[in-house]
Amino acid sequence: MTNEEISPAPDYGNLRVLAIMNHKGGIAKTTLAKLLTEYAVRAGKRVLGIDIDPQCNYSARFVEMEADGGAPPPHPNFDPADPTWDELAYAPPGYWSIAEFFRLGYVEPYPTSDANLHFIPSHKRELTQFLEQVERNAIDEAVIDHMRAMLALDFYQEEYDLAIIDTPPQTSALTASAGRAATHLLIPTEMQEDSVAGMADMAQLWQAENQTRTGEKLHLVGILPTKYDTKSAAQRRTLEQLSQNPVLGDKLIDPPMRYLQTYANSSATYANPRSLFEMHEDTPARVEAEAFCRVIFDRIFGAAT
Amino acid sequence: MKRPALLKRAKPGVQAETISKVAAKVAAAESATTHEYDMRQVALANIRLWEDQPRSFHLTMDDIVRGQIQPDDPASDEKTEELESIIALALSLKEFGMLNAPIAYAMPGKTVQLMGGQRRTMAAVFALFHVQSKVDAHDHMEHDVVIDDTPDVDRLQDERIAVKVFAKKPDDLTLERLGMVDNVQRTELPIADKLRWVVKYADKRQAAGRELGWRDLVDTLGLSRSQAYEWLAVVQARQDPWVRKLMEKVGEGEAPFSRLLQIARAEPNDREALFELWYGTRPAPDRSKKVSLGVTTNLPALKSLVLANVHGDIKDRLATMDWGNPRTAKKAFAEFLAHWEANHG
Repeated sequence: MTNEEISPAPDYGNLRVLAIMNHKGGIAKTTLAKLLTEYAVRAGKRVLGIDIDPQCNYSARFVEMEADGGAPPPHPNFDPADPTWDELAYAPPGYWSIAEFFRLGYVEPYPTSDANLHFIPSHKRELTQFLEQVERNAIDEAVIDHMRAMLALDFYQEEYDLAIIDTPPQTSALTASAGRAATHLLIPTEMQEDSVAGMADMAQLWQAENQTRTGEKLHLVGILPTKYDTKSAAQRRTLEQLSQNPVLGDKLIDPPMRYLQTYANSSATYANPRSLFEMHEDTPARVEAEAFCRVIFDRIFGAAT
Repeated sequence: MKRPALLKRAKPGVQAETISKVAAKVAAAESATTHEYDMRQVALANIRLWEDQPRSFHLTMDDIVRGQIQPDDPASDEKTEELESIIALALSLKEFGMLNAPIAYAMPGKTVQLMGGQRRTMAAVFALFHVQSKVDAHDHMEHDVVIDDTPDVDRLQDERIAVKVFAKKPDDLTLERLGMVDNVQRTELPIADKLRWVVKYADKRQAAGRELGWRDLVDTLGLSRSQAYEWLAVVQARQDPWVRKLMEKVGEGEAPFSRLLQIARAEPNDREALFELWYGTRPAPDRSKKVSLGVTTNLPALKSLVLANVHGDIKDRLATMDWGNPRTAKKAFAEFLAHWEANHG
């Protein structure tokens, strides 16, 4: 292996890239991504949301999607009369999605209702199609290394403090791409046998990534227990077992996520109030979310902020 | 009334093994480092031996190339012993290939400096010059030591072996870690091959008037030291017919190695009994009916049920039995069942 083949750690300056990953589905990855994004914006960070899940649920929270939520709307900067569109080899049809990000190596993030938050939405059909079109031997460069190369551009480093990537529930090239690009990794998981055992696979991906990095490693922010039900003896015991483990105990994020229904309702596309963090400050769900978001933020940015 | 518990209730939560497995993975991932080495095919001529290796070692490359120790050599005793183990390694190299590549770091040019696997490298050189292979009548490869008096040193330029080459000299900690990784990455041979080879090799050694040592097994089969001691026990008992029989079974995957070890360590007189116990023809299990009435307490009801379904002699006999006592009731019911099965299938 020559030195060129060992990719050093991503060189982002002050930009932190948080990938929320677990190849298990339905364990509140997207919900967590939404919450963290809202929390980060309120904490005054300049945030870039990146959705690489073809389901587009994370996108739909912040960008008004079209085609039954499967495609982003025309970009506000889009001007069909602008001649530069014609100069592009592949002229995007007025919108920018993560598919263009991979295909063209360029994308214009969408502005959202928060000035601090920009968003690169997913595109159900295009992203799936793109992945089918990528040749097997080109997948490393075209997908896995691509996101890191893109985020290393000055533009992203100057514009944003934090990029949050929501990943699809699979161990695919897409997920690997997020892992390669990320500086921080967050693993949400349920407190039950299968999910806990499944974390070994996530650790495998994490290990593979760290084995390619010569400099700064990919940091595990932590493991967040989600859908935690205090009424279940099995879940209580699982959490207790994990927290007593010398390795995993440090990784666990306390408090666990309990009020999933409230989070899901509050982060629906047309939710009112717009955010969980606009609910009454004594709402148990808000109190809890602020607590675990703070822990996550302290671990990403250092306790000082 | 107390009911018999059928299923033991599992403790809630996740199994301890699951957690420790995940924890081990997470710990490994967190401390993972880049692979600092790559596997290269290096010509034997470009491998520099490790002069300051920790183990005391007398053999030189000249001795290996020559294939024998000069009688006037001051360290001839030590060297002869070392050469023997090199020959063992060389034979196993021919048989299995390099199970575990030597470790080296890159020097300017094509040269690499060894840091581990000195003896394996020497064995490769020895095998190149002094081991001849031929196919015997049964289509097996046979390897024999034939000392070549005029070795052609130029062949060292062409013969290549796999070496783990570091870009630069790694620190001690990395080396130590690699040693552990090594043990995991070793090529696994089928146990049948290992057993066959060990026996053959031990026989050869015995014919030459020497016993096999644990180090031979460590080198040639890639065993750990404690494993090697276990294998030695097997090797030493290899003449015993029962050990041989079990060896065959292990080779065919019909018996675990632990049993082979157990029988090899047992007193010679006990071996047959052990083998019979495990694989002998056992008496057929008692298939006579055993009946459980469960928790039935209504024995009179059972009696009327049974008597209503039988006719003739057996009815009379069953009717006279004591149905009030659970024990005899059980016997009666068993008899009824046997009768019923005989008549109705």
